[in-house]
Amino acid sequence: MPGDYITNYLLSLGNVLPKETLNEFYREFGLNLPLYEQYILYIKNIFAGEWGYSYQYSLPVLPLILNKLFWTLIILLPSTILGIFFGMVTGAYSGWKSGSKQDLTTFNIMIMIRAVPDYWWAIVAVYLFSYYLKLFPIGGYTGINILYSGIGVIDVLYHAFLPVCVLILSITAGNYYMMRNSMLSVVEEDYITTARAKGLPENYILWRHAMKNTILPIVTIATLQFASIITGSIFVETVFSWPGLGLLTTEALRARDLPLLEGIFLLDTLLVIIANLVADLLYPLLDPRIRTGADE
Amino acid sequence: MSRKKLFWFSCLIFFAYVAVAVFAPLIAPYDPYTVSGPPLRQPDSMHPLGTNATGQDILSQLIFGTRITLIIGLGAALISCSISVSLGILTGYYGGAFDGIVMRGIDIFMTIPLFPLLLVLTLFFTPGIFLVAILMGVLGSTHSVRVFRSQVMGIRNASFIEGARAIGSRDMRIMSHHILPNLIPIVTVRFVSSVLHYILLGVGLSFLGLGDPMVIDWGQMIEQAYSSGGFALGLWWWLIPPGLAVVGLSLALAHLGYSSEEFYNPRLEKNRY
Amino acid sequence: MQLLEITGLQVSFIKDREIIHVIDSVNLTLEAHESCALVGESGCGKTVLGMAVMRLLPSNAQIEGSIRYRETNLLELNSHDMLQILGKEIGMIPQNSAMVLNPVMTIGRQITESLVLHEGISSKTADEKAIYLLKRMDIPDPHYALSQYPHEFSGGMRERILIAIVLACEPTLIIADEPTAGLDILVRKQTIELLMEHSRDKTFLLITHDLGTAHELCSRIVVMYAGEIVESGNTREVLSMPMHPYTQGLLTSHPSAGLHPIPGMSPNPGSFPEGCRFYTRCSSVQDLCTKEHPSLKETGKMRKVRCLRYD
Repeated sequence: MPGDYITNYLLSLGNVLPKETLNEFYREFGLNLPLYEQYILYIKNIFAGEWGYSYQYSLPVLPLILNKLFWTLIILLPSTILGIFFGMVTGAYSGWKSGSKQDLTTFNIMIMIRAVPDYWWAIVAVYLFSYYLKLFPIGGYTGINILYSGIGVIDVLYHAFLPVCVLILSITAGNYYMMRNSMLSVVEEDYITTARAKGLPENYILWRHAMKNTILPIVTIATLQFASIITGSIFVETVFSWPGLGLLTTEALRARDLPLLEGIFLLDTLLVIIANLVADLLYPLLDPRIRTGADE
Repeated sequence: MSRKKLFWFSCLIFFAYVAVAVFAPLIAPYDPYTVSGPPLRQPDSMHPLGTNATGQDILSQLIFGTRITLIIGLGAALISCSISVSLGILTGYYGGAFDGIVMRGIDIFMTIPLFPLLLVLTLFFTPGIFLVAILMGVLGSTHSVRVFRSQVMGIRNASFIEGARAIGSRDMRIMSHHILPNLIPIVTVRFVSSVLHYILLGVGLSFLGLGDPMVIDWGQMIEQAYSSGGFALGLWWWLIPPGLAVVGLSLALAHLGYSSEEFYNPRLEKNRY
Repeated sequence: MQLLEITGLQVSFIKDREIIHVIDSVNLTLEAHESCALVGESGCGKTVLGMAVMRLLPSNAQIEGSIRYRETNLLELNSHDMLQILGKEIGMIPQNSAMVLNPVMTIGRQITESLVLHEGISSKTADEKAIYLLKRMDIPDPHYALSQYPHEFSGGMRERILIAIVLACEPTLIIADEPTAGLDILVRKQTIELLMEHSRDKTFLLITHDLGTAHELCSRIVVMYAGEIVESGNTREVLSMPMHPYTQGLLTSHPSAGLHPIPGMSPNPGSFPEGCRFYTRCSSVQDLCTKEHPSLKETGKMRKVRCLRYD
């Protein structure tokens, strides 16, 4: 991180920096210790929940992040879950019926969705639905009435609707593509022919035989999508002024609020590690060959 | 529209963008940085796309913005592909401890989410567009190394390589004459999708205010339009064109990417009799 | 009563705008309770024939002729009606036991699903039937086996599971494609015994390249080469007194006869030679063989040969 932490921090408080105060702070924060000791102190602090202080808000970083995280999850969790679900279902069906008109139309639609960046979808959505059609609020997470009646759940959901829809778009497209590819190879497998030889109906074969095999290669990637909280939400939250982690990041970037950014960055890395662990645990549950140790 | 026609149409569009970028000074009616008219003017005969809050011509900004977008996208993709292809060939060919170390490093590197890292680094350097391209290219190359590496490892054991070795060809020659040509299919496909990816990333970065503050590109235009109250004031001529420009370019590239992927991997195009 | 009547069957595949003929004007009839072996080397079209009867050929296949099962032409049925036949009336034991079982589905499920879907019985009853079948197949601990997965079984056991699966709905006609391929001698013997025991009251079409298995299981034998039937008749007769040079070659290439392989390779579909398709490898080839294509002629009671020597 650029800039001497203390200098930056103090500079954000005032303009003049008496030398004695500087030294005082140095001793206090342990900055006069050799570098590796500082790093150990840093790690210790992280575990203790001490993530530093934000420049902008002069508040401790961790609680700030956690607070916003909550709001991000409100739009991110449903959209990721729904997005993965829709993507998988449409991808599986498309791959199963590959070459058909439904497949080709869906495929082309998905290409177009994927090519358009999500901030553009967000802007279009806001423009069309909020500004023009006045169906949905332009941004924020509640209306003015919270001043009177407190935060209402319905109101929040109303505000969340558009952001969730926009998020679902890109998540679905990505999952669709992977699922379709996976299905294309499953369809050629011999056990599908055997299932047909048994006279089982097509839909049954698709959902009961093919599906589980198709999902396997994708599980890891799908789980990791839950970890990309910042990447996923930054643009959408910014456009919709949704007070979550993404918006926090944008503001922190604009204000060059380094401690805050460090904290966010750290959280993101931790999430990726956790997601990887979860994926590793999840895979054997789904694939019986790993469970009992196949020797093929 | 048939697949082939779609492919050529996308090519056409892409090259149209390139042409606009190359001939920008000749096409643009005004210099994009000078104030050439009253601010927030709606489109008229003088300014086909109107003016922005400072009075600069939007059409000119759009045209010159093409340069930046393409430089970032193509530059980053070139850098990324060069690095990952080289690393892929070297680790795949030599294997052993070298391969082990490099891949461990890449694995560790890949656990760090790219986007936040990119954000922080651009913050740190406040770079010009070339540096942005380099940063993106370097960071993004890690993702492709594995793919190329496994491809190389598959080829390495092929018999014609042994034949080349047997007649005493030097490693360098083997790598450039035998392995590299075999990689061309996947490299091309990856390159096209990389360009798309980096263009979107680049525009996204400047949307967040992280790009080169000295130049005006599409992301910044969208961001400025948005924060100047684009919605409330109905500034459609400022808000929409850059977005459409991005969409047009990325749709064209996306189609090129898929077409080339289908070309090299016919399995994806099943049941077309 | 004729159970299966194949008339003038012609199967071709369209690949890259080319039409490749794989099966040429094949006629075959199966009486009820008959067991017939279809032998030939890989690529002669025997597996394609089996798949054609089940209508399981890929979408780029063109089929002409008729396949009548009990008076109904299977080729004219719509997919819904065909589903009623598959598994229930006609069952198949497919090739390659490792790949034909769904790796993520328990074998119990793979046995019971056709029972539940075709006959509408409850899953509990179906499970009981599955256990019964597995017991008859000598699978140890059948109750536990229901919840096991294909990769937990050996090749021989998987083959027996496939037999259990096909017997579940008690079809009248069973097509078995290479049931003994890749199995070692002891396991092969066990599998054959099992098949013999269970095919007594069924009509059986065995597709194989192993003459020994054909001899033990089937009363009739049909020899195919390059997409055509070249000889057919009673198994014992054909194998003890083969008429077609190819059949003779097959017998002499058997390990017990001294392992003299037939020189050359069978032609690929699409590049069949003019005249007789076997002449390039035939030890008794004559000049006429290179020009005239022999037709299948009846030479005795149920005996047919396609060779110019017998014309």
